[in-house]
Amino acid sequence: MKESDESLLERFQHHSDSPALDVLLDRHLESVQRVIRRMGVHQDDVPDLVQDTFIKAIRGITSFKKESKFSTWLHRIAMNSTMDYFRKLERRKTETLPELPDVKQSCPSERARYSETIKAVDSAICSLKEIHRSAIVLTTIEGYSVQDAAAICSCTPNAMSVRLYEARRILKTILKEHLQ
Amino acid sequence: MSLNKDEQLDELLMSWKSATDNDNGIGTEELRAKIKLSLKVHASHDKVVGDPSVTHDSPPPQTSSPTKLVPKVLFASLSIAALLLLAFVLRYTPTSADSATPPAFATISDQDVSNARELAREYKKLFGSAFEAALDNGTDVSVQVAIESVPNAESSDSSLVRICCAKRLLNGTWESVWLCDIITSDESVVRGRVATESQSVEIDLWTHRLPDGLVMVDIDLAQPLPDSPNLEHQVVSEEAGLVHKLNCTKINGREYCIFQSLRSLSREPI
Repeated sequence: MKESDESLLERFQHHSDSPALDVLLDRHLESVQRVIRRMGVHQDDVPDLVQDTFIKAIRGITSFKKESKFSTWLHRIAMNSTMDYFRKLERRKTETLPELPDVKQSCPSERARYSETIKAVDSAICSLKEIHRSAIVLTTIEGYSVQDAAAICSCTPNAMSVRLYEARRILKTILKEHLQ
Repeated sequence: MSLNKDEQLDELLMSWKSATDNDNGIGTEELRAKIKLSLKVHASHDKVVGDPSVTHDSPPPQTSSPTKLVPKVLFASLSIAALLLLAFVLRYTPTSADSATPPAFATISDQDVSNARELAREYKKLFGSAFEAALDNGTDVSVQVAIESVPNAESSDSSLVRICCAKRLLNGTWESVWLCDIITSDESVVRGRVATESQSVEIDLWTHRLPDGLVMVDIDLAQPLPDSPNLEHQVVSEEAGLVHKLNCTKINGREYCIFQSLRSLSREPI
């Protein structure tokens, strides 16, 4: 039987059981990495955010009340770190002169190998507000239910549905040339 | 069969998903190693700093003969006297151990929470969901309000964050150099300034409530002390009212420390 995340965490926390941590990373690392990247974080910054997410989740797990699944908790921390990243990015943009190149652009455009259509979708998703982008990424792309996506984004399921509707409406407008 | 626009959009999004599925930049193995290393470092740090369960083993009890009892009683009395003297000296001499004790003014009292809660209520009445923060540096209060209010703001939870800089005096007590109380709505990026005679400290702060009610505080301080580097710190408030020491430094032989504490204004019982 598959051992639960919570049990693995306990083994890691109380017995420093490294294989337990390995299993947790096997289960969640790529998914967290993917969500953070799909949210439009610059690829150079993705590893730092993923690392922060796991450290915060595992160090703060003593107070995890198990009202949600560990993966929801983990993705919520990932999403919050990502939102914080965008806020800081925005702040740095306003503080830095435009000609200085040290502010990394989010939504990287180095996906040259993609077709024009994929690039257009990429660009359209990147142009969404973060709350709309997270709604699309979590539900349509990652397959979370509206309830779980709402838990990850700390909002009500109704609010998540509204965000999703709005995100799809905007995407349909931007991508109208690609929709027959 | 022709697809409607929603179905076509889903198809486009699925194509994008497939195209970006294996786009994870840095190798997963490398990332895994970094995470494991960080967790190991944190774990060993926690053990050194904060594990109260680490105790020293007591030596096994020894039996003694009656002939040696008198010198032992004398020795014990002298030891107790020496310990008392040592305790007295330690009590009134500033030591590095004292540095761990934060000043009383860094702690947020229940009365402070009650006052802040009242103020937060008033600010929210006035500004609604546009209210982001109020900074009180002891002389001025500045209120930060969003340009556009957010009608769907899910979280109206607030916290009181206290950040202060303290200087240790010769008698070992702390003196406040500057202190700032910030009432902040969760998720607001707060920017403020505390000006003293010799410096101007810029504060950037962001609080985020974790699912279990813990509050994460992200603080950037520009020049918290004269000629000191900027300070970036992230703290998970694990215990209501716990004072975190963010940084300590010595200037002209005097110890200066930056402390931070937080109390939730929404979920804690008064």
